[in-house]
Amino acid sequence: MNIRLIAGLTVLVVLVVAAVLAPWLAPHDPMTQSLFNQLLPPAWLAGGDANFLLGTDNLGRDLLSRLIYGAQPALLVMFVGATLSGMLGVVLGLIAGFFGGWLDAVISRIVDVFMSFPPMLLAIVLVAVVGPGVGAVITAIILIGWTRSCRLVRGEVLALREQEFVTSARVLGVSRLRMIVHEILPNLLPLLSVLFGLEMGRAIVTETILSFVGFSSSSIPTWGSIIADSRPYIYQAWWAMAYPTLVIMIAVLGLNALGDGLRQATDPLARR
Amino acid sequence: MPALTIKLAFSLMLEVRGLRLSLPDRGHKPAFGRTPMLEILKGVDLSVPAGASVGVVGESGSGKSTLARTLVRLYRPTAGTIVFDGEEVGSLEGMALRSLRTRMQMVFQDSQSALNPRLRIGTILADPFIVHGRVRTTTEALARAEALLEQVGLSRQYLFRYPHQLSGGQRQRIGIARAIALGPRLVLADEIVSGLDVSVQVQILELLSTLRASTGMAVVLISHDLSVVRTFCDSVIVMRHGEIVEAGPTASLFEAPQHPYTRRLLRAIPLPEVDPSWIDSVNLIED
Amino acid sequence: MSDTPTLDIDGLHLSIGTTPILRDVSLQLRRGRIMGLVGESGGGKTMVGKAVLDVLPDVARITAGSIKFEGRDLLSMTQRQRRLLRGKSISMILQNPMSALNPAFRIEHQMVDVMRFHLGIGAREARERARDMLDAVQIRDPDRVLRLYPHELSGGMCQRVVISIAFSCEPQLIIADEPTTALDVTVQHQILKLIKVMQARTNSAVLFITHDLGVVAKVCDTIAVLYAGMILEAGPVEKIFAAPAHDYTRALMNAAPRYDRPNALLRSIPAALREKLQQDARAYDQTRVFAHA
Repeated sequence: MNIRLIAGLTVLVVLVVAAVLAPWLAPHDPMTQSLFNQLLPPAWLAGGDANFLLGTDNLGRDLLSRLIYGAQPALLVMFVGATLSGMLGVVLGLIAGFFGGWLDAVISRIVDVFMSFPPMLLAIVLVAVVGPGVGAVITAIILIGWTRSCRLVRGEVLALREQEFVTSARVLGVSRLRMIVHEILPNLLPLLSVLFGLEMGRAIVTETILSFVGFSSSSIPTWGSIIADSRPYIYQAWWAMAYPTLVIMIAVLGLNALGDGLRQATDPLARR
Repeated sequence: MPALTIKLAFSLMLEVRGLRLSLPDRGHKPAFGRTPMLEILKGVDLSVPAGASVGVVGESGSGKSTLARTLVRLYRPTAGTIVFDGEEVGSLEGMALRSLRTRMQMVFQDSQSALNPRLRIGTILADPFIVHGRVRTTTEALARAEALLEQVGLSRQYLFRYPHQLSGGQRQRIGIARAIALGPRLVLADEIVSGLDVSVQVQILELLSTLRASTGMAVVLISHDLSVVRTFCDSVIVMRHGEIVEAGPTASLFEAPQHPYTRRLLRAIPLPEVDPSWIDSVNLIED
Repeated sequence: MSDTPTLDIDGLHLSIGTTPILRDVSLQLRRGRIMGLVGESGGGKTMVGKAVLDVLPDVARITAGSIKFEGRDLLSMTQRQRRLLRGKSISMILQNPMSALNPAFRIEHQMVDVMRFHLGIGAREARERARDMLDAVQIRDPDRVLRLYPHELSGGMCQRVVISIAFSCEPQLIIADEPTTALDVTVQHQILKLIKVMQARTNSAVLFITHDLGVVAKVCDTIAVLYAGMILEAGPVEKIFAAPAHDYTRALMNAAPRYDRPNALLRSIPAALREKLQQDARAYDQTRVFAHA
């Protein structure tokens, strides 16, 4: 039984269902304001309204509906951001680790430069240049994320390259491309699984932060913007900030577990 | 003896003359500037007739493994010639080097790390045929892999296993199977039985002997174990610090070793016979 | 006192999960003696050493039998009592000398530490003693070696240091598990000689675990042959090498190639013999199940 994999998949399925079926699942329109229903507490607290299960925000928008719709940008950002940043990092890491020499030196120095730059500053500068929007957020996630996967993959490839089976493939006359795809890449799978889970989680967190500082102007509410919107009312309406935070935590934990679970599932050494 | 060399040249499959190799000495890499080079092979001569079995013995640091790796051209020699089937292969590159791989193969010491842990045995054995375009379909490649398994005495059920599900002896059989897949003329076996139980050692060495007899391939057996070499090789070279200290037919080298180092090596081997004087028989302090 | 064996293992039975690893292992080792414990990998020989040293893996369970050291039952001692014995009265030499030494500390630190802990002597005295010990294992420049880190030494040098640490507290018993397997033959010879010399000096008992019958013949006084966790044969080396009584011992002797007998017919251990021994082992497990019921 792979509990992590099951937990992670459950979280992922819930996210996907929420995002795809948001118009049917959400009890209200996430953008509809209602001056009569400002800052309503969750339904089970005193003064709560059963129509607004998790309460409302300062403009009277239904929190549950906003959270459900928030799954859409979260999913987009996490899939596209983690996949592209992962791919960029893996390709460059493979090249640096496998070929070594000046290629490695150049790639490694670029990674150093990127890593020495405060990541949020990097993202903010980028959004300021490109203009706010989901595209800018995803670009920022890629620019921040690729260095981590690149460095990890490079290290792993350096170790794998010294293994005798790579030498054995060389003696067999295997081409370099086939060597990378056939010999090295399968051995990177466990690392990539964990990395992908972590990067998806990080993408959500990065998106939250960028939304929080107001760089994600999207027509749909994002979890980060929900938190940002409710920040001034934290003393009157803690729920408006607590629930999105909780949702983000569960999503990130679930995605990390998914990565770990995938690693276990793809490891032939675990098979007897 | 130039006359002798010329006379033998037609029957020699592999002829190595004055082979030198220097590698970067990473242990003494300075903070700035060039990494110093360390000479590992200091002029090695070696002749392997077609179908012969030649033993290369020596202790760690003697350069015997590096010699094998240079012969299969994992390294490019710094100086000297490697003539294989009448062709100088010391400086081959690209496609020519790839074609050399079909004729000269290697079996590695550590069967655990020499087989990709994430590939099934079937894939590992089908690889040589696919890489060199000897088969058109995967089914065909798997059929060849199955035939290989049979040749090394394993049943077809192993096709679907992973390397870690095999014993050390079985893994070494897979290593041999992969090496003989393309029908090479020469196989270099680098310490292929060290780390195996003696009874398994015998089986592996016998398998190699049988294959040599049936395919006519030559074997260069690199080993630290003189008893193994004595039993399975026609001729032997003894290496030390990157040089050959003694070479000759196995029987004469073992029965009348000329070089003091060879004699010392032989005396240091504990034979399974009770002999209280053995422990004091060799000089403790190195010469 | 003199007729109490230093190590007395009686009817030892050890299992990992439900799989028996050692089956009714009994052996006795006296002071000043070296016993060779031989067998193939997976036979359980390393587990015997680990059981004596109390470094068994967590999943292993001793289900029957006793291990007595100088007449005292080791298995009924507390963890603390056994820890105090280990390193002082019982010490070890393992196969990989590099991993036996901590790469983060200088040789001096590691040697002095052991002696101060077990012998309760001062740093100065311990250092003096460390120097003497290195001198005794034929290290030419002990002062220099004391200042080095393990990775700066060759395999042979490392094993000398390990041997000097093992003997530094003049232990009554040493467990040597494949101490020369990773070494070159000429270095192996030197190390075996050192173990012999040091053992004679301290009059220790040595349990020498190895797969190499040649080594046993050269350095041991007695031999015990282990297969499938069962002792098949034990006795003085002269007797057993001259006339092995058990088929397996004979098969093991015929399996190893010998440079002095190139034309001898090498035979790997017959499958039928293995099958018979496995059957014996299963039959033994059956009787144990009934004995418990």
